[in-house]
Amino acid sequence: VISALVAVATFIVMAALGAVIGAEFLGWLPALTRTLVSLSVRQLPAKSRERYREEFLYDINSMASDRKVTALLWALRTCISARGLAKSLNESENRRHEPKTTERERLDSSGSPTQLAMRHRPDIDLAALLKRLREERDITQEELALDAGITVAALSRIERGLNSPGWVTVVRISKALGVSLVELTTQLTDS
Amino acid sequence: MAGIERITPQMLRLLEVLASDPSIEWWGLALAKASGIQSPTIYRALARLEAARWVTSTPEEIDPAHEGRPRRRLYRLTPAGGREATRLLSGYAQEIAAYPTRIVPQRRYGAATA
Repeated sequence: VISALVAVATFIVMAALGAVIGAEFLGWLPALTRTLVSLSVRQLPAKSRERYREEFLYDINSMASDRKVTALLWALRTCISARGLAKSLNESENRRHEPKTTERERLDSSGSPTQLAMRHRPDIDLAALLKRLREERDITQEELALDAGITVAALSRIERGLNSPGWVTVVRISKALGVSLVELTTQLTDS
Repeated sequence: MAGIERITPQMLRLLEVLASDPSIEWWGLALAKASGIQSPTIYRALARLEAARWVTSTPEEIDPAHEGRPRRRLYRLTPAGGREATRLLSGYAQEIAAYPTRIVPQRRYGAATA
């Protein structure tokens, strides 16, 4: 009987403690969320900080007051993705100071129409090779495009030899196919 | 005309929502709900669109103390952005119709977006 009483008493004390700690934790959540927002904003370029602080606070404010955990998780995700946002903001800031057309673009667009057409003529061997490699792996255009981070339409045009993919795109596609560039060029020269 | 270097499915979905009614001004959270893109991610796409001058944004003209909430930032397509969006969306109309679920981001594209 005594041990049963002790068990019941322990249970009551633990439950009370749990409730108190829970309430304390809930009380701390908004402050924690605001700290995370500050941390996210601090990762951004100084110029954009105030603006994004306002946007993030609005978003958190819009979440119902009983969804404190959701708000906290949102702030956590924001904090993690803030670096990406900062990267995009810095890139656009750098791009604003670049001349409108680079020397390379000027050279690319010079020459007679025929020369231009020759320079940008898609490589049909590359097109066929990419298509064959994809089909050998039994993956669809959608899957490969998703893996390579390009649109299905772009991949389709590349495979049909309508578009000439740039270097970066070729690298992405070969990575998504799991083929090294050496292998790709070897196969290209062999065929 | 400044362009977007890489069009992602999220970007298309975002442009689709923005172009659906150019007279509506959106704020981040509303755009996130309408497009199904996670709200922290959407700010990155919006920053890229803004850098390319396809989208402009202005702070909402309210008194936060009076309204009892922070100011919204309102986004809308620029005329040039509207034209580009329409061109892009018609170009990808088949893909959008055929793969509606692909438009919602499903995976991260490697380190480039991490």
